[in-house]
Amino acid sequence: MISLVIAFSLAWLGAAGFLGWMGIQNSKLHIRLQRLEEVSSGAAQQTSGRHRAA
Amino acid sequence: MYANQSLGFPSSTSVWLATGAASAMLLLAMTLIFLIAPREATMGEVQRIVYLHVAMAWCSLVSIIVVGGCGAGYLYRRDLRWDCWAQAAAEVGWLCNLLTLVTGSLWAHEAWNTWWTWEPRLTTTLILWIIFSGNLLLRCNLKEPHLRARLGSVLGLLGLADVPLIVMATRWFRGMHPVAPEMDATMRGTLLFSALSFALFFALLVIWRRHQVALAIRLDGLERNHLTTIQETHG
Repeated sequence: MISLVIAFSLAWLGAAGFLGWMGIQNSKLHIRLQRLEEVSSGAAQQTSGRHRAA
Repeated sequence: MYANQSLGFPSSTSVWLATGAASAMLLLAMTLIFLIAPREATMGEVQRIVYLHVAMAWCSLVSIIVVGGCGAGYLYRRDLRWDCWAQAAAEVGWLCNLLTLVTGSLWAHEAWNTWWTWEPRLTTTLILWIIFSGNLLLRCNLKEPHLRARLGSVLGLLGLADVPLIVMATRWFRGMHPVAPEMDATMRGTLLFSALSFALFFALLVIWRRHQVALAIRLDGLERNHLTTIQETHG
């Protein structure tokens, strides 16, 4: 009986763990996307500043 | 600029409907396993592990077929979209295969009085798990997407070659693993429904993960382009 409980618990833990890990990957992608936006908007400001100066 | 891009999880209604269906099916499968399926005479309650074990084993076999098939697709087309599917299926397949081995071991302890034996089907399934693990380790450690896809595809095809060995192991090598044992109609129905429910759930995990992998590859490309632009601007 204990084997049955362990087997099903591990299966659900495995599935939940995978979903959690996917959530972490999602957060990492979100951070990378934000950083990319910051960098691209900074670069755009810098370029327009140079154009104005010229 | 990039804020409207999907962050891994697809927003399509059909995927979310399928998620709801998979959740309901899993709940029903648990009800069938624990409340409807009859208690097996020889092994008792522990036999219910079989409903999970067989479902996981079938899912891991389908996963390696997807990994191998998409690997072949990548090698033929050299298109990274094939590799996104292969990577997502490899990750889910690794989990299914691990759960197959663990649940099988728990069942074997009750049925054969041992946690592990070098029986042909067990050994070939362990080999498949080693191939899955190798595939994931390789993907973690290689940055260049096409090199990663190429080597991953080769390992996927190697895993695919293991599938007939796993399926036919009990017939070709006369192992002690049970082959399609006689089952009551309710038990067979429960087994099929459980396998179908887990298959739908893991298929959805593969779809979600594929979106994340594809987005990660796109971000890699965008970051590289930005770095080049910044270097050119300052240089």
